[in-house]
Amino acid sequence: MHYVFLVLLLLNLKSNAQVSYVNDTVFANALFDANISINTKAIQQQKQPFSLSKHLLLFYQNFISEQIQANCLYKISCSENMKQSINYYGFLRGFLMGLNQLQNCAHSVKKDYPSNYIKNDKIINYIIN
Amino acid sequence: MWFKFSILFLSSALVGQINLNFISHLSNNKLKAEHCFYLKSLAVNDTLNYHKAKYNLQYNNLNDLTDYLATKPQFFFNDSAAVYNTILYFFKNENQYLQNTFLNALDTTALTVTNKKLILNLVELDSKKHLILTNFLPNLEGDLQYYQKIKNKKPVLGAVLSAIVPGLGKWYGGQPNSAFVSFFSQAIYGLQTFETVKKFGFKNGFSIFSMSFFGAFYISNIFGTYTDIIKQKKLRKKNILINEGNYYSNFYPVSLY
Repeated sequence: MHYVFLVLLLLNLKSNAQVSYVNDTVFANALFDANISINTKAIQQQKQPFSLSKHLLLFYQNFISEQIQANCLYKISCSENMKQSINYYGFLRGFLMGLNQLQNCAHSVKKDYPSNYIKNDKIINYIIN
Repeated sequence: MWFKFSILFLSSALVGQINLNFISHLSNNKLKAEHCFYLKSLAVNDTLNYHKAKYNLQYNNLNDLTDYLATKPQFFFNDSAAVYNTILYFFKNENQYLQNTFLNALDTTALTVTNKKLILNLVELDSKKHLILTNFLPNLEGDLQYYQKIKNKKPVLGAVLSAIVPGLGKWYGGQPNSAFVSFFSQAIYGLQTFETVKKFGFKNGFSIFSMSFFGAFYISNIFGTYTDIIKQKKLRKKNILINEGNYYSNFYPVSLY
């Protein structure tokens, strides 16, 4: 499964480099769940250019990874986290952050997080904390 | 109801004084719109600014509150309930700009014992000194000791350690479980890559794929260690503040009026 996920991402490196926009729902959720306030003024929305890898990730999420969502360790799944990280931080940093979460996929990792950051048995892993 | 309101508004406008009982009623019953409308109907002076600040604090309108606190208002700092609730806001929410404005303008001589203690807790977590555990709640001792261990860890050193042995940097950064997972996943990918190269050679397609796959994970582990150490420090600190803020607001709630 990881191979499929990676191949889909690596297929289009160029198109992702230009993407920099912020998903509003991420901040709304962060504010609601973790009592975290974020200075939204510092973040400016830009027009979204077409991104092939974003669509490939959507395909992965909807047709390949659909069945394992319920068992996911994190509040935001690996593919969604990578998508948001790439959107926010740019391709290189976002890609590395996404991979880092991907290789930390084990339930014992929960013990490394403080109690306020585990809700409904899932680690709260918003890209902005 | 509207008749009573209109009489109160008219009377306040005629007399020109602030009706504290009425404001207290509006605040306690969380009548936000009426509260705002009443404050707007009054003539501007220092007392009104003070009440506006408390209104902004109650309903988290923080821009106006920051501007007001920057003027070093003595009225506000003499009100221990307002100061107490402002500090508890900082415990539960992160707003560094407002917090700095508040701490810079604060007149410490007028503070109560509880407020002094809470501000010490707030400031100590940021300082590089060792935490004085007796200032904090006893049930937070474990969290505090853990935070004390990791708060001076260096992310760059963690990244270097992860480059030498995958997972070692995470161990150093206070994430032992994550370190084990990283180490074993890297070991498995590494072994697979080694075997593939040994069997098929460097120029084989599968070898190239395996090497790039392992390389991506190896670099992401180094970068992830760097970001995780920074993130862990923030999360651990926030965890302590949220727990302490919840404790005080649940067991010692103080009304603004």
